[in-house]
Amino acid sequence: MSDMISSFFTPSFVALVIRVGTPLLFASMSAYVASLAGIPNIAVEGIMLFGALFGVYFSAISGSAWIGLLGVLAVGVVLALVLAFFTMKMKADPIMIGIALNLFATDFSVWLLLVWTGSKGTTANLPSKVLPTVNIPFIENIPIIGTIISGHYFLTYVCIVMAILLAILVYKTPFGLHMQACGLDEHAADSVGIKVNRVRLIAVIMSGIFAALGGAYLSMGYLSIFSNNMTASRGWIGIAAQAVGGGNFLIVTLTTGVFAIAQGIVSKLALTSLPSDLINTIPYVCVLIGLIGLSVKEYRKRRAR
Amino acid sequence: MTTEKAKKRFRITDEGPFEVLRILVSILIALAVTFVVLCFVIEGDSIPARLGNAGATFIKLLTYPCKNMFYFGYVLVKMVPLTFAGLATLLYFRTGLFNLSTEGVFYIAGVACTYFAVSEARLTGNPFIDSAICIVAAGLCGGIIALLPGYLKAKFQANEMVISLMMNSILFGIGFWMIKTFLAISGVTGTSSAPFVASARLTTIIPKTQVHSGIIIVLVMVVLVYILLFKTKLGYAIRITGLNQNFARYSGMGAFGLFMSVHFLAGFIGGMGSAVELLGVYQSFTWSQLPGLGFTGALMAMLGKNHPIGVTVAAFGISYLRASAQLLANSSPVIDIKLVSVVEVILTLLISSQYFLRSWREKQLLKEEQCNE
Repeated sequence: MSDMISSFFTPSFVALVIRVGTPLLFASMSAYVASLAGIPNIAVEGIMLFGALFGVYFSAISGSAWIGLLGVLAVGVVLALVLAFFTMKMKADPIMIGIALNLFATDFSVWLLLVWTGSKGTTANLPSKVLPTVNIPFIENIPIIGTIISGHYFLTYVCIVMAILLAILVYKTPFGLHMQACGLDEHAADSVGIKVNRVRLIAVIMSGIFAALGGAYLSMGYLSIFSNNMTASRGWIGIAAQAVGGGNFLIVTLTTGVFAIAQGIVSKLALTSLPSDLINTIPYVCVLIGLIGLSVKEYRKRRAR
Repeated sequence: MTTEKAKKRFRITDEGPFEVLRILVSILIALAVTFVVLCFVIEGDSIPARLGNAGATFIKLLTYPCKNMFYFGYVLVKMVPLTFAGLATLLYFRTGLFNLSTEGVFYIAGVACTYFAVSEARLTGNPFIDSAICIVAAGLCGGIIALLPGYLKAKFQANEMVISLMMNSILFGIGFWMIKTFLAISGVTGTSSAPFVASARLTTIIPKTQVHSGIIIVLVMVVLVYILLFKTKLGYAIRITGLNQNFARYSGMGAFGLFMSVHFLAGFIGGMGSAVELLGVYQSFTWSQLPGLGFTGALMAMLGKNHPIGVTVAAFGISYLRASAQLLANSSPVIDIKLVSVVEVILTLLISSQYFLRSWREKQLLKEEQCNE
């Protein structure tokens, strides 16, 4: 057991956390940017699932992982447009649309699997391609830092770059301010001349792209196949991180980090003889405790006033 | 005189008929899209051949359950859990709560039901009492579990949706572990429980079909939920709170007690549904992942306009297609129960859209005005 605990303080564990944390951060960014602009995107899980499936499919039929990635982006944008169209133009409840898209993704991805491969399990018999891992020259040779920073999948670096860009976009540009305004009060935003629908459309499209990339990471890096229900509630964890952090991107990212560590511990403990079904619930228990703590804190704040 | 006459005349743009029209158009569009999807994947050398094949398969999909009593009975069997889940979720939605825990409740209450159903020592041997023990145990388990998000919502105004989603994953982990560790056949490491005792299982009520007595239980529940919503004080509080939380608070309705009762009732109905499904259809507990019935319940509630009878109709419609697709799954490589998700998603998207067909309706109303002038 002490071996196990000491293994949590090694560079390879940090690298593991980064590996399992990437899809979670994609999911969090997806949930964050959409709800910042006032359209809560509950469909993160579903978009991730479709992203994962279509990444495999497009890379298999084109023979190139990069074309697969383009396909993933297209799928993310299309699903985001569906969400945007029905919530903004047709005045449907975004939560309802999100639930519907999630259910659709869960079921329809299995059907597509069946049609494409003849089995409902995995795409193991599709010749899909995997995005490369990136070894950063020089840094990879530095003992500890090299293990942590270098040698991750391509999309991990994309994720980190996008997170930085997103933070700059939200906090340092007029557009970021517009997004926040739309999320806080669309009428107020409208009255000062912000084109609410356009801002929201862009935010939702970004959200769709983040979620789809999170899915692609799972099936084109982390694993090299798509398997039935492979996102395994990662999208929901992103939504929970957004719920904890609210409009504050730093807190959203830190919360995601905590969930990623929990997930990392799970993948370590999965190798032991402990019951795996119980171990798997650890990240969700963390999320639950975090959410409860947050709402108790806010309740106290309200009462103190 | 003339105005009175005009009022009595049937107009498609009136509230009720327009709603029916909207639903019918949504169904048509959903089926049309399914047909198009079929055309893409069906086997065929030329375009006409593909269209023909797709058409034949499509018509089969729409008519297959009417072929004989067994198939139609299968529709009714499929409808039972969907109606239960829909009833549970509509209570949440009516109160303005976006709680999706019915999924996890279905799972864990199924485990509670299994706890009693696998052991003769915990049962009496009387079929009626045994089934009742299992169903009530599952209901209580579901109700108590649902009180957790209920309490957090009522006391701290926590985000009940995210909490209920996290609970789903946790309940699944715990439930699956319990099934494997305590309720499996001893000595066998499998993913299913020991078989249910015969006296606990629900009896078949229509010979030569799979229709079990659960269909009666679910219809009774539909009536009870209807009475609860529209004939009792609690139901009134539920509806008013759903329309406007502030109004309910200012008029002196305690939100705490209301939220707790709604969560318990919804959890209870969900748990019952799980037990009825397990005891009616399954020989043992075999769910190795979340069954997806709780989320479908949210769709049923939405499609049925949060009305118990609407939910029943929606559950019947979706079950009809699901049953048909499942029965046809062996005859065609591209038909599977999962294909019905196309119909489900399009129906939900269109019916939840407030503006769907609205401009058409406004145009019609405008035309009428102009005619009258």
